[in-house]
Amino acid sequence: MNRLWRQLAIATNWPVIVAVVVLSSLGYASILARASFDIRFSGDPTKQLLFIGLGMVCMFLMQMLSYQQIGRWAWFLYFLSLFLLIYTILPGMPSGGLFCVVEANNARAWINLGFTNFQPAELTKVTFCMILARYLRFRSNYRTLGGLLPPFALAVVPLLLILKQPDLGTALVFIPSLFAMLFVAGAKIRHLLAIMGIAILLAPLAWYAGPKEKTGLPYEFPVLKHMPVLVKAYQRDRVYALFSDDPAVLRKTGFQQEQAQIAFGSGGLSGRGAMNIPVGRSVPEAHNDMIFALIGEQFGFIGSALLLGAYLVLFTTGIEIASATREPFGRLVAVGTVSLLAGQTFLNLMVALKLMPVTGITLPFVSYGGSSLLASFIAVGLLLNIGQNRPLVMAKNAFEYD
Amino acid sequence: MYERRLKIFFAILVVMTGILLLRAAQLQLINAEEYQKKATKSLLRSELLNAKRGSILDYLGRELAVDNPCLVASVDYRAIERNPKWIDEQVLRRLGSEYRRADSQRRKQLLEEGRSRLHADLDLMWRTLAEVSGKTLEEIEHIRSSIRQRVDMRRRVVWYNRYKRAMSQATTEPADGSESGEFESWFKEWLLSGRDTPEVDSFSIDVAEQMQAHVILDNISTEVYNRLNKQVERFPGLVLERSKHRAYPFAATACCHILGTLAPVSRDDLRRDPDPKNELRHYLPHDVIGRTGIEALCEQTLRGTRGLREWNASDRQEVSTTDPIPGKDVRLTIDAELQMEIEDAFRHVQWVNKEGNVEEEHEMHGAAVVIDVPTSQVRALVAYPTYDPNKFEELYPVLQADLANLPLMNRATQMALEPGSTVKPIVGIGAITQGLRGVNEGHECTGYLIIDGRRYSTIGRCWTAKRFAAVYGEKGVAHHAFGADPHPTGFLTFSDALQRSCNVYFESLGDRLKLQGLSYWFGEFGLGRRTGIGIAEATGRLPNQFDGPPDSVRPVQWFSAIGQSQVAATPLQMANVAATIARDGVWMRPTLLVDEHQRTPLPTTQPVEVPPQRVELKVSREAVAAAKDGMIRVVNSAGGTGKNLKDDRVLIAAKTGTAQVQPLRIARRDANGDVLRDEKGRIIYDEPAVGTKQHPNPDLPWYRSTNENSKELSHAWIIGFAPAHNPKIAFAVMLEYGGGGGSDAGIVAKAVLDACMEHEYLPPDK
Repeated sequence: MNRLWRQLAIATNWPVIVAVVVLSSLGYASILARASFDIRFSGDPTKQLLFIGLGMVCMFLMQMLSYQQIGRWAWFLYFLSLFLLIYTILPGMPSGGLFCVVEANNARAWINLGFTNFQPAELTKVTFCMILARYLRFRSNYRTLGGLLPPFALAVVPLLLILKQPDLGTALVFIPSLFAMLFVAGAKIRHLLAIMGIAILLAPLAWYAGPKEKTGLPYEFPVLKHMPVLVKAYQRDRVYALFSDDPAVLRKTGFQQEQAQIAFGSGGLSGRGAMNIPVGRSVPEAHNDMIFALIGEQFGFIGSALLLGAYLVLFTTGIEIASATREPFGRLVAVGTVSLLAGQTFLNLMVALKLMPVTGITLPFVSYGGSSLLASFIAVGLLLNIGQNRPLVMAKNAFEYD
Repeated sequence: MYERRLKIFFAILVVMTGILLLRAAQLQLINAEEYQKKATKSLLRSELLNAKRGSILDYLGRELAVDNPCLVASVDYRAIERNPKWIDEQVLRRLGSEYRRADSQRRKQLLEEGRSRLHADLDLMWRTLAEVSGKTLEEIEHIRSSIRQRVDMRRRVVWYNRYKRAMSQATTEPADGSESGEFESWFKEWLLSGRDTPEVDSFSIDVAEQMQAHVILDNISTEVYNRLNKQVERFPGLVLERSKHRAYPFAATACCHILGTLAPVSRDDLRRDPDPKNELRHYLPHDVIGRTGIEALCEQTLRGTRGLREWNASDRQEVSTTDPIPGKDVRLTIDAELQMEIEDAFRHVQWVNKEGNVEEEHEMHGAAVVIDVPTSQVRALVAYPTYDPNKFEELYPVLQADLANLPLMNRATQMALEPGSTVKPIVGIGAITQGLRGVNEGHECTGYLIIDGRRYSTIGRCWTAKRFAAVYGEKGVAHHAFGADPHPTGFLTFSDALQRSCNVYFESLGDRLKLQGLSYWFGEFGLGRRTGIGIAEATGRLPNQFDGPPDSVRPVQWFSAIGQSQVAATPLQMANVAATIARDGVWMRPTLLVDEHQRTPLPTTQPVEVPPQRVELKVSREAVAAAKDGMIRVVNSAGGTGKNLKDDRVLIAAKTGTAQVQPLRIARRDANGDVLRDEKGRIIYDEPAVGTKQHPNPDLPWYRSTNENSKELSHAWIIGFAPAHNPKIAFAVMLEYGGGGGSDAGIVAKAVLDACMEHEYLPPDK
């Protein structure tokens, strides 16, 4: 206990705690507003408050052990989370009772734990980050193209499992995280760029894959038409909706983003005030993916800037911790954690601000949802842990590459 | 270079955050105003305010048809469409704290159970509404679907207006460009598309109608109200409220055929909406529309203009309100009291013998029309039997199925019958104008028709032949210097012939005029075409429509000239013939409206063609004068056929008609109302028994013969005008199977004239 208190007292923790409190409060206020306007809103603001508290406790509890001790369990935790992911997508699971797989928004992503639903993908993000750091810490073969294969494999396995659920948003977060960690660990930039280039080149192929009867496109290509359809119809519609200003589209597929934008923009500089969400109340999933719209509507640009500022504080602290940590595992975990949180934040905000098609991803610390909150708090706890438990390293500096 | 990559990574994070901050600034600072406008627009809710329909008044301002308060059973739109969100809300409201306390598994279960219970209650509600109203479930379904169409259409209109506004803001085109033209064709198609699922997504609420109750049962009784009121708690969405419905407080039955009915709009009405772009005027499904009668004729006058209330959904502040404009009242030319008295005359027809005793008394079917001669305003237009329009909906199946009495038929305008001798003035005027005979040229009637030197002993006899044959033998000479009103020479002039209603005289003229000539003159006087009064009319039949064998053309010429076989006219047409003669040959379109500008039918309910208001016929002055003289003598001379119309106070001119007809035949129908046929495919008819004075038919007292033995049947007519030298009113009375024109129709005509005098439409001139 003494140790915990000592850690809390360390000044570097305080900006993180303040940022997290600011973010959670903005989220809670929006969920409260949403709940009071929508009788059908199935969530419970009290539950959110409970999970914020629980998350805080978890965050502090993460300080009890050294991250290195946790790191020894990395493989076990990684496979445990893979097992849980497989569990969710197994066919023929019972649809009710304890430990059943809960389906929501057409995704089988949750396991019923009785008191709450648990989303294994959230856990997987943290364990992935740890296993990748553990794998990369003393190696250098990822500086060859072939050596990049194992790190990619570590990412692709959970990614495919999550896509199978299907939960595209969560799956997407693994990619920036993978690249960020490889980048910081010292993979050759030209390799990373080449992979990104290939991905960009392959993107149109994925878009056009499949016969035109199934893709709904006006044309098809000789080889591609024999491939399975990779982009689902609703995803295609969402992409179209992003670029459309046809009122008919804006009233259908584009409605969520368009309405969110109206809610957000109409907040102006200072917003309509707390609990005042006349436009936002009709935004689908406003407590979840589109919660930034509610914040913008209630608290205006000031609120938006506050939220972005809080995230920046969080990320900066994370980078600072990574930078101060010479021990390679800790450093990579810190970078991974920051990249996970940042990736998720940016994806969510870009969707909310209509810079990207709708994917369905939560905003860390802000959106409604226990698993997401806990995962975010644990990730930050891990980050703080690294900051507090820097071992003395008697080796040359890690990742001395350019 | 130890930290370089970390710094780059950090820089990426900062740049990303910066981009998002800039984007936020773009939306919230630079474009804030635009989004605030959009927000206001998307928060705008509107609601249509229904306008009161105008009343229909009689000539003296008495209310014949008014919008009256009533109780209605309405159902919330979300219950009508079974909106899943609303259903969940209702379930949660019912569950209350039980749901709040439950864990997620239990919640799911509670929600499932609640939903199925609620659906069951809704099912029961629709069944109950059908049961209490006596409607079938399909009829209730139909009401529901028309309400859904209404709301869909409303949403589409709102959507379209917003779309147009957005488009005109985006481009620099003037905004009023859309006002003048038609809708884009795609929109029109979409607007009227019968698809049940709206194209407009279900996320948003555009119009308040989506959250309002819509009338399912109109004008419910207190018992039904009480019965439903007990179950309001159980039936989610059911609202019992006050509304308005059409009521007929005065002279309801007498005016039933004139006033007409209201009905829900049809798809055709919507397609041919005269004002489709006006949000406040255009028709929406579930609107009522005047379908027949004056309600249809003056639809656009009676129908008001809706109001529109717009408010902001966030603070419930009213943005704008356009008050509804109630429909204008329409004043008829009909005197409802006169109308009622004439209706009563048909209800109680009394045959009084010479001793003054009532020999026979019962109702008679038929029609009577009174026209104001100078203005051509119709003062009374009675068709009997009548029905109570206040109970029209519930009585409709019975009325519709009553094929013997046909109570829904407006006999005054829709029943074209052979007018008998009442057409004789037209034949004479026509022939004299054409120079086929001189006004004072005499024609001898021996009782038998003689054409080209050939004497016909069986057909074309004068009505007198029968009577005189018994006295003077086969060769007997009718209308000569003997009998009740001796003619000095036996050679009848036009007016003599009219006075005595001589068949031979007019048959001879018919032979000269031929079918074409007869049809021309009948047409000039308004037969064979609609008068253009504005309510449903039959055209009737003209001789030139004859398409029988050529050797029967000649007899048809003769018989048409005395108003039989190839001529048929409605009582209104015949009254207008009398009015035309009274005006010395000026035909005028009869009207029911004091203000003709209130004639505003929709293209769907009215023929576009309306005859001119006034036509001066090119007829011989002397011929018309002779016709008038003859008609005066019909009433006022001893040999006249309409003597019982004679009045001490006013000089009346008239012409009687007795048109022989075939027995009544009613096609037999099965329970579904389909006509039954025998094995050869011929329609099976029922022929009811003909009643007589001694042996009346109690089921159909009006179906009678005045001849106890032969049981011959005839329609009785009488037309005329008064005062004869300065005509104020013209009239026609028709009794279906009434017997003789003078003896039977005259009884009702006398009552009509007495009523006109009493109400001072017929001033005394003596």
